[in-house]
Amino acid sequence: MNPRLRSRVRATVVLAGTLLVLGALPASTAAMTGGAAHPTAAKATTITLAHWSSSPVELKGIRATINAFEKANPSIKVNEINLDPYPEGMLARFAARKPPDIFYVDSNVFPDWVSQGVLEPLDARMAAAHMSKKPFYPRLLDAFRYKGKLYGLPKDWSPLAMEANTKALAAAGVAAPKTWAGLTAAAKKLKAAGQPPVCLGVDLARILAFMYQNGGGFLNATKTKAIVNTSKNTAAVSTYINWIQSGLARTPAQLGMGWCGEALGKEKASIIFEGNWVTSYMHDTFPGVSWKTYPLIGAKAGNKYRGNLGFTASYSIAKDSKNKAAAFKMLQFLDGPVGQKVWISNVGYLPARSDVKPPAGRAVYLKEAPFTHPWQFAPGFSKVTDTANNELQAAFEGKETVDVALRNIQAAANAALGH
Amino acid sequence: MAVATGRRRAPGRFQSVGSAKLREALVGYAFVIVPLAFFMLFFIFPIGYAMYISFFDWGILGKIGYVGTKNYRDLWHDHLFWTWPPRRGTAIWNTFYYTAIVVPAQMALGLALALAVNARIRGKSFFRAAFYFPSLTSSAAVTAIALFILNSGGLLNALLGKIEGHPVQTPWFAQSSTALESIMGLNIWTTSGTMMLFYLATLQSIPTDVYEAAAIDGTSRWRTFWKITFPLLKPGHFFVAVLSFIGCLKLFDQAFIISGGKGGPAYSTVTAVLYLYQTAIFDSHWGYAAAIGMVLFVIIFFFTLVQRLLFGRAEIGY
Repeated sequence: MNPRLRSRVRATVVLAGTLLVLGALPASTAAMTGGAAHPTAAKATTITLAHWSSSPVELKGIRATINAFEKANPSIKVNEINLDPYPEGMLARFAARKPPDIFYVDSNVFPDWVSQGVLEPLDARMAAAHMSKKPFYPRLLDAFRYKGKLYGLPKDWSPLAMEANTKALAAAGVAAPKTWAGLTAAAKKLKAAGQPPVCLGVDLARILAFMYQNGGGFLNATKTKAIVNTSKNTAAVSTYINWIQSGLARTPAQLGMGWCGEALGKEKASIIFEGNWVTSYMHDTFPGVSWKTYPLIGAKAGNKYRGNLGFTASYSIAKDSKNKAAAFKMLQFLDGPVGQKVWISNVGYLPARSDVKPPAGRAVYLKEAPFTHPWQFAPGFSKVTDTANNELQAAFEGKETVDVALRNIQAAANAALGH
Repeated sequence: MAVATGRRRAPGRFQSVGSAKLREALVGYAFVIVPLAFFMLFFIFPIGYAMYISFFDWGILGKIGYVGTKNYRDLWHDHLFWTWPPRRGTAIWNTFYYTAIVVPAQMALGLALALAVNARIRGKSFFRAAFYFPSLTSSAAVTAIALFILNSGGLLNALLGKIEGHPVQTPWFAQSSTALESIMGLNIWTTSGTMMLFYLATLQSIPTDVYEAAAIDGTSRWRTFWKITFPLLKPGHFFVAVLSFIGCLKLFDQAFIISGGKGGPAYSTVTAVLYLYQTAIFDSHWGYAAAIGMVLFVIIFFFTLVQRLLFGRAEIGY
């Protein structure tokens, strides 16, 4: 290349580079303003519904429910997004101020989200639409109340129960246990008969039910103080961990399973403690296994010694939604008798409304309701439940005593409550 | 170029803009301006913005209030983040423990592989590709498969059972004494290929005449390695050490996958970045999370400087 040509090329490159950068600016500005000025041409409103789906059955169920809604409301189109991982996906959308209009909220993350102001209160809209709160189970509604206002309507729920392999029980010659002592005796007989053990996860979402059974708990009634470090909780956790340490029970990890439901399905466990989600899972994946649902055991005989955890999720509306009216219309349908019926008949979960009949064979779960405490704490408790699980695991591994573990959990909980 | 002929003085126009040196610099910048703009927008700007956020109470919807250095002061007293004396189970010490084992192991394995494939052996290119292959696989995919292999009823336990003669049921990822160590093994294996590549490049830049001179003097192979190859690999050592070190301090994906984001079992896989993620995503304390990020930035920056001093100016001194 001769020098003159080279400098010419150089000059062209400099110019081109500069133009490229400068040119990008006005173009992007135009794109930003151009979109907003565009009038909405179509008559139908489009709203977005975000959800998670823990199984193909659930995905099919939510799609059937959406279809039923669209058929009943032709002026509203629903754009469905299936998020996995869910909280991460939702947080990005909240932060961008472009959240889905209507979406699931797990009872456990509800305190965090509502205290951050991303949810829309529903009371005024419900009153205006003459939508009654009465058909809903009050404990489920309470899970979505914050400072006296309602920010979500429960879509379904489930307590824990005891699920057992009936063949294994028969082979060991034991009846389904009703108390802790009964479980110990049954587990011993199962072991002696060479049957699979009990499956217990080292998980606060199971162990807390046993704490309640023993008269313990996690937070006081007003959720202002932690009540973890008590002798009743120590006794409950020690008993629970002892079942595993003595070999009468096994954790899913020890059994090489993802969770206890899988262990029941693959006949690696004879007795498990899970919720109603086991029912459709077992029915679809392991139809050949003979198993039955029994009431969750108590610390001792009698209702005083019973305790359970309830898991639920709501449909809520985003504070930053641009189609709140249409979103509320959908919420009204989803949580109305018709929407609930479509959803429940597809997925087999327990309805949140007392005027919708639960699927057949769920009586055992419904009878747990009076002993059930919601799986919910206070804002900022995600770290506390993580701490609790890590401490319980440390106690289970013998790295520290149960007392120390509970003391550490108590400290973490009180710190999150601002003490 | 017909147009060019009519414009004989064209180069002169640009000569008037500053000195020749400045012109050359401008041309240089023009070439990199687009990538540089992206770099500023997606790397430098977020770092500055993260620093800004770290001085605020920052929620999902943004700024809640200015808190000064409170996030940093809270972090200083956060027993999940670090403790004095050092204790396993805290984010910082887990990360340092992991780094202390993985960096030397990765370097040693990378060097050994590089020496092996640099030797005159049959099927050299096959081995180079084979050793490099794990580095190309996504770490999430490798971890997902490792979850099956290291399961209590998995392949590894089956093999160990055959060797030991009795069934082995160690849940490698589900007990605190082996969880982080299993991730170490996994990462040493997957990353060694990349390290091998860098060492190989440095190995091949060593001139052959130094080896010829050593051969004439009758130096043993062992002595040749320690007295010639190893010192001349200095730039390779520096580069690999820095890269491996930064990678280790940023450990996240494997820890996240095996613990479901919880840092379990019993805190054994809480790493600094996983703790940052938990704080931001599950706790919505974005200001506090940004403070963790800044502290991690300072730690990595500090150790990189130390390494640079240790390895000198990383120049080959023949």
